[in-house]
Amino acid sequence: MQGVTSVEIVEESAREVVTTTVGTEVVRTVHATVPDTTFNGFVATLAFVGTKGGTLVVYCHRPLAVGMAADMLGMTGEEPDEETVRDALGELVNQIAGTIKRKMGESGNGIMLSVPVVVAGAPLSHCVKSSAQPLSVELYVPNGSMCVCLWPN
Amino acid sequence: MKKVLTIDDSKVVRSMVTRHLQPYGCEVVEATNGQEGVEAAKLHQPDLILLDVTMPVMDGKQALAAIRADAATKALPVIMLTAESGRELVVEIVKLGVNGYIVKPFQKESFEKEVSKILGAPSATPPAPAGPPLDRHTVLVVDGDEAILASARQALAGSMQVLTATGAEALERWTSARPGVVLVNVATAGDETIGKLRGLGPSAFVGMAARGDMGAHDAAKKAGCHTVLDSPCQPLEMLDGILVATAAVATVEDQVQTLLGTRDGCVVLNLPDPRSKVFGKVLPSLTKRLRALGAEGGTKLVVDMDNVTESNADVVKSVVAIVTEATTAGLRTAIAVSSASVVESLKQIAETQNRLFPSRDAAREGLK
Repeated sequence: MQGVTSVEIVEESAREVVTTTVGTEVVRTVHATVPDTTFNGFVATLAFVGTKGGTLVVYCHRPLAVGMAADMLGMTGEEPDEETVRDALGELVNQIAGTIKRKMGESGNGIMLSVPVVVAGAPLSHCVKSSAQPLSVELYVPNGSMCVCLWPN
Repeated sequence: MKKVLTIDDSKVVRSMVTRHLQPYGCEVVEATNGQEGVEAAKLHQPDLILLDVTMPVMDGKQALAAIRADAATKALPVIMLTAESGRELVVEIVKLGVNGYIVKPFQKESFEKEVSKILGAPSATPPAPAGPPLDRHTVLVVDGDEAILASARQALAGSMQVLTATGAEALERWTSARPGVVLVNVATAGDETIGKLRGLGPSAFVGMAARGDMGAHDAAKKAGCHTVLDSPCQPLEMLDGILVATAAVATVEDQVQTLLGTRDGCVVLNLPDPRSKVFGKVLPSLTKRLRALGAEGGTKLVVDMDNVTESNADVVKSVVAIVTEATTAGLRTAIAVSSASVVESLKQIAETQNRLFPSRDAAREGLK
């Protein structure tokens, strides 16, 4: 995906999904550096495969992940369980990846999306094998921030 | 009741789809992958299948192919829900015989646009989920401003039981009390909370929006309020708004019931003003109800025409129909009427001329 996508596409896609699916406002975005390989929270990963490849990763601290999952489910006054939070994060990374592909237009033809994988741990060691520079955006919402990174292959 | 099958490996998406389907009042069946979905389609024969593309075990494209290959399911309408919308995917699913597709993330409007092509337009008022009937004498007031809540309590306390909530706890209050009326400030409650409340049951919704703020008024209507009041409003305006919204959600049978009462062993029918919308709407159900009253052992009927001040052909025709139906049902009938013009016109009619009394009490006496 190197050369056919941009940090702006990643940013617009993430913003569109968070505002529409979670229903929360994105206060600001910052083109960011990738979080440390040791991350304390949820890490949702999805692979682009086919004519072009890459890996999309969403890093989200637990309180925000729980809050977004509750918003997506329309829950009030109770907290979703761990499995539901992982499910919500998986859906978010899936929708962000689909939106990135859509925004790539014809360049996105021949690219397929894998099923998302979401893990959580404290601390979590995470590493993506890619020689390319990641396209990384930090999205600030009222209750915290999340980092969305795309590593083109 | 229509049935919709949602096939998606994500519980969150199935839940979102179910919420978006609430206005259609349909039963929702869930499956968590393509294989389960194909089996559920055969078993339930849904009116619509909403099918995700990327799923484990069997993906959406394979599931769609299986559904179209089976004689028992090949005619079922399928809409794909997909995070991708590339040309090659669209061509592929169209070839497989999809009826439409919705790209995720989706807004309520784009979801309803596609789904309504199959299910028809969503009903204005979602049906109540199973549970006891709503309490028509209870109003839930939702406003972020404590002063407004206090004023609403004071204004409505004499007429209805008043519950208040400042925000999200409104959902819990509604569930525990099942109020017939919800009075809600759109700006402080938010249209999402209103949407959730509307999904709980068919309460009458009165919106409150700042005077002159047409955007807020439009938002309230869009959120499903049956009427919108300027805020702040007077107690009488509040009561009037409640009446308008209640009439909007009431069934004809509810309205007929509100016209009937009993006094001293007589059934009393308060005939509405013939200029009101209610008048023409309720008559067929009213005559039916009179037949039932006779069958239940009722013997005396007073038609109270105190609200009818002017006579016209519709009034005469309606009164004659009521008297004829009541007589057939075995009810002795008297008409209480004070308007001179109405008395004059009813005196000309054989069915009514010997039944006229100047007041309700006189009519009841006349039936003794």
